[in-house]
Amino acid sequence: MLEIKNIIKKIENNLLLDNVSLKIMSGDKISLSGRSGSGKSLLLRAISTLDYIDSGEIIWKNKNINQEYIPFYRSQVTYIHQRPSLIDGTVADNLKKVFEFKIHQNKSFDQEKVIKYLESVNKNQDFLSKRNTNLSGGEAQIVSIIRMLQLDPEIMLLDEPTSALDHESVLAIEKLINDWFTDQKSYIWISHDREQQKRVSNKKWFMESGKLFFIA
Amino acid sequence: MAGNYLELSYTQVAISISLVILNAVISIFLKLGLEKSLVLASFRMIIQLFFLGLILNWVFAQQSLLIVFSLCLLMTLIASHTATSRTKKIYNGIFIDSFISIFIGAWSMSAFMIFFINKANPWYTPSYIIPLIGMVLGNSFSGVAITIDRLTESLQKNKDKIETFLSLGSTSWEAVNDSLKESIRAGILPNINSMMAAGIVNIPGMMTGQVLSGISPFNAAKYQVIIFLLISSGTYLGSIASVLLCYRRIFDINHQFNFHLLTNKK
Repeated sequence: MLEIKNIIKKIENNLLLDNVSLKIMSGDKISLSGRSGSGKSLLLRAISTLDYIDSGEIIWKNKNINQEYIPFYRSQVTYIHQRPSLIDGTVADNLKKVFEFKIHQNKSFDQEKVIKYLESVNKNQDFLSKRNTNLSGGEAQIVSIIRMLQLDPEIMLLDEPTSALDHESVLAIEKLINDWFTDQKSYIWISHDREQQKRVSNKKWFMESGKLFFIA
Repeated sequence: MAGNYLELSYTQVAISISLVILNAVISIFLKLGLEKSLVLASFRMIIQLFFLGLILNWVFAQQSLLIVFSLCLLMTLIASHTATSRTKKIYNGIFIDSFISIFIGAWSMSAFMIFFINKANPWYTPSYIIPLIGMVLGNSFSGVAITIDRLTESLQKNKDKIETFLSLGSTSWEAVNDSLKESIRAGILPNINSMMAAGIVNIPGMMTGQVLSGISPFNAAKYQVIIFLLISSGTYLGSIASVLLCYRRIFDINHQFNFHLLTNKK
C-alpha cells in the first residue's frame, strides 16, 4: 500500500531520521512509541510529505510521489496534528472548509454522514452550530478528526491526537477511528499510553535516535 | 503663476526652529522624556533636507541620464533597506524581494507618468522625474514593509492552520491564501485611507507645495489626483509583488511550508 525507502533527514550533522524504511499494508493498525525527540513526529511528517527530507523514496500504490500528486496523496495519507487547528466559525464552517480545496471539488459536504459520526460520540446536530471558540480541547480534536474522516482517507498518521485530552474524549476519538477503520485502511498512531497502544494496535513500532524498530 | 511664490529667507527658517525649542521645553516641563528625540529628529531633518536641496540643485543642473538613473537606483536601494529594517521577522532574500517589489511598484508607475501621461522634454528631466519617483517610492516602500511584516507575522500565527490545510490536501496557495490577502489589504489600506481623507481632512503635501509656489489650486488638484493614483497603484503593485515573492521563498514546489526559513530579527 505504502512503502518508504531509506529516508534520511538531518539538520547540520544530526541525523533526525536515520535511513528509515517501512511498509504499511491494508489492515495495519500500528502504534508508534519512543522517547521525545526520537523522531516519531518527524517520521509521520516525512511520510505525509509535510517536511523536506534529504533523501529517500515514498512509494504510494507502486508510484513515486511527485509534486502534482502531493495534494491528492496528502488527502489519502493524512497527518493529524497533536494540536487541533480550527478556523474561526462554527463546527459546520470547519467541516465545509475542506471542500473549497481544488482536490476535493468533486465532493461535497454530507451532513447526514457527519451527523452519524457525531452521534457515534454522543453529539447531536446542534453541535454543528457551535463556534470554534466554545469547544473544549477534546471537542476540537473530534471536529478535526471528523473533518478528515469525511474525506475518507486510506491511511491516517495520528500524531498523539489524544495526548492532552480527558478520558472521555480519548475514548470518543478512538471510537471515531475504529468506526472508520476497515480491512482496506490502515494507520500509524503515536502514543505513549501502553493501555491505549494495546487497544488501538495490531503492530508495534518503536523509534530511538531517528531509527525505526519493528517489535515482534 | 509662479510670480506669487514667496521666497523664504534663512531668518524665516530659523524662526520656525523656535517651535522645536518650545516643544522641548513642554516635554521637559511635563517630564515626557521626548526632548532629546524631538531635537535630534528636527536636527536630522534640517540637515537631511538642506543636503537633499543641495544635491538636487546640482543634479538638476546636470541633466544627465546616468546621474538621474543612479540617484533613482540609490533611492530605491535605501527604500528597500528601510522597508526590510521595519519587519520583525526576516528570511534569506528579504532584501532582494523588497527591492524587486519596490522597483516594480515605483518605477513602473513613474514610467507610466513619464511616457503616457505627462511627457517631459527630455523624458529624464531630473526636476521632474526625481520628485515624482521619490513620492511613489516613499509610499510603495511603506506598503511593502507593512505587507511583508503582516505576512510573516500571519504565517507564524497561522502555522498550525496552514499545515492542517496542507495535510488535508490543499495546495500551498490555498493554505496560505487568507494570509496573502490579509497582508496585501494591510499594505494598501493606509493609502486607501489617505485617498478617502484627501481634500476633506487635509490638503495633500504635493498640492500644498504647488499652491504655495503660486500654481492655481485647481491645476494643483489635477496634479495631485494623478500622483495619488500613481502612488496607490505603485503601492498596490509593490504589495502584491512582495507577497508573491515571499510566498515563493517560504513554500516550495512540493507544497511544503518551510517555516524554519523565517527567523526573528536579532
